[in-house]
Amino acid sequence: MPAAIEIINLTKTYRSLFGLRQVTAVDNLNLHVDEGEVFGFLGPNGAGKTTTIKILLGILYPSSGECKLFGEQFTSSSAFAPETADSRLKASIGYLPEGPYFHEFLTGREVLAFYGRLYGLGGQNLKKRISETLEIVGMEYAADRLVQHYSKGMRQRVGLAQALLSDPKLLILDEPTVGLDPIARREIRDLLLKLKGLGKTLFICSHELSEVEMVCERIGIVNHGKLIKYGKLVDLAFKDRAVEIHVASLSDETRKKLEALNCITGKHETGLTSIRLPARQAVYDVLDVLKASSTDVVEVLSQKESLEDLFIRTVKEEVA
Amino acid sequence: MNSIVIGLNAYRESIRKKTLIAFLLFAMLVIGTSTFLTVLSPGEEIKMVKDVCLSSISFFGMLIAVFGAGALIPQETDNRTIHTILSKPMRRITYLLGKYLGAQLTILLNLGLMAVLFLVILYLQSRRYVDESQAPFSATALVTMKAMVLVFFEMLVLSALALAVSTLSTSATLPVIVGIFIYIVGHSVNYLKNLSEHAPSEFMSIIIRQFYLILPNFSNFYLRNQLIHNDPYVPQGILKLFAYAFLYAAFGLLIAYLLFRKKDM
Ligand SMILES: Nc1ncnc2c1ncn2[C@@H]1O[C@H](COP(=O)(O)OP(=O)(O)OP(=O)(O)O)[C@@H](O)[C@H]1O
Ligand SMILES: [Mg+2]
Repeated sequence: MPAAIEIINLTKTYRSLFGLRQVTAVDNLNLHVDEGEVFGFLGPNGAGKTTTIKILLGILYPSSGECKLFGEQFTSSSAFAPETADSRLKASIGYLPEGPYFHEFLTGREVLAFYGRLYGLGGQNLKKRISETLEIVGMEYAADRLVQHYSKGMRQRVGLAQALLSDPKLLILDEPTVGLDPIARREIRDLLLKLKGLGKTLFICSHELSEVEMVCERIGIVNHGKLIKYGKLVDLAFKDRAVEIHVASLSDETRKKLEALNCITGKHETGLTSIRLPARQAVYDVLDVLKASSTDVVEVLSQKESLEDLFIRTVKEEVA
Repeated sequence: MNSIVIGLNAYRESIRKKTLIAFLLFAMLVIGTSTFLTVLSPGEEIKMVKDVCLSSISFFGMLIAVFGAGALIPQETDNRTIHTILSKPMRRITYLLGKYLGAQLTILLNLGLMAVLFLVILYLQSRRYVDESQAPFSATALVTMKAMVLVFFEMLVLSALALAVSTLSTSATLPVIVGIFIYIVGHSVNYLKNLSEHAPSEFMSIIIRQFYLILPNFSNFYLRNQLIHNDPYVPQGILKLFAYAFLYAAFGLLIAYLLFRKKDM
């Protein structure tokens, strides 16, 4: 089965009119996302996420390298290529742009009708699909109001509805929950999980790391256009997990022994004494010391690094 | 099919644009008040009315064409709707043709309204001064219609060229300026020809000649004399003029396509 998304040696350099200023937004990026996978595409502002997405969709053209979606490439760059192959491919992708904007003079329903027609939908089919997607994003109540008067979150929902119109296999979402209230966030997250359950491939670009953590299986972190961390979330987050042991009290002698093992001891806010281990591997050595001194061990905590910590650490390490 | 969807959408958007409505209202005002000019020179009145009306329809028609066509793409680039649209199953050429189609609908609507007012005024005039020497209204109406059709042909060209320039631009300013320039030069091609023959230097003459060789000659599309003399005869033939306009418009659209095909959005 071909990968849903395959990015090979992708580079994109923006040039000003006379090539005086250049920005390399994506730098030799390699990435692949399997079908049915939920992939989180992360990175600080200006890292090149939106640029990558636009190239995936054929809105931008790469400076070098290539992208394949379901093993196929867009052919539309050649003037006389048959439209059908590209159309089929594009119909299997739903795209939610960053801060979606629609024709202000249309109602939400009309916006969906417009985009639906571009998919070749019409008549009863289109009507049905529009009400289905409106229901999914919870916007039936405001569907006949002008987009002009929509709030940020309402636009975001119409944006999602629009991406779902063709019932695509692959959803590319650029910051899906930005600007949403906590309830809407939860709803969208549930929706994403539901879509995942239906076997859709999701490519999510987001700064809401706690949400990414709840939805995504695999992530890639980019910075300055380069992929700096890439892999299964469990692996990345547990590989460097910290271990902390809490004990009732500690004799000076034991404390010295522990410090010789590079542990950091301290007072925990609960009144217990905490022992922070330098690495997970040290746990048996430390426990041996504690056993020998008959120290009262209250708890052994294995902390999974939060995605936020991982993200910040990775980006900072990259800078260093 | 998608071109039609895009076109109707562009049309819907254009007809609520304030600039275009303002142009239309202003043109209507000028056409309407032209009737009062007759007080100034009673003998020449009909001629004056025709002259003023035709030139204002041509001029405001041009503004509507270049503003209408030139703003469509920069606007969608600016508010980023174009990203969502181009991510749908549609080629860029389809998008361009759709926008062009939408511009034509807008132009047709505006020209149509102006033409109707023009005809109404001509009709009222013909009723007011029943004069044996005057041609019947039906004859006037025929020439007027022909004149309007030719104005539309001209707009086919201007809007295509404005659209082409707009693919390079982030705002409507550049396409509008280029459009107005082409309109002015296109209407003075015969004059330019003359000028190039009598240019002070060989170099100047060559430069001027390039302009009239490349730019469309719009003077053939301006039936001022026929209108004033109620003469329905168009020397170049309407079909030939249409072919001329069509080729120019196709050329403009081809340029637009070549510029837009690989453009980063
Ligand atoms: N049209 C453009 N012309 C020139 N430079 C651009 C253009 N679009 C983006 N850039 C530059 O490319 C880099 C990557 O931008 P991009 O929008 O892809 O970042 P991003 O990862 O989506 O950021 P954010 O998280 O803020 O949305 C930035 O340095 C940006 O300034
Ligand atoms: Mg972005």
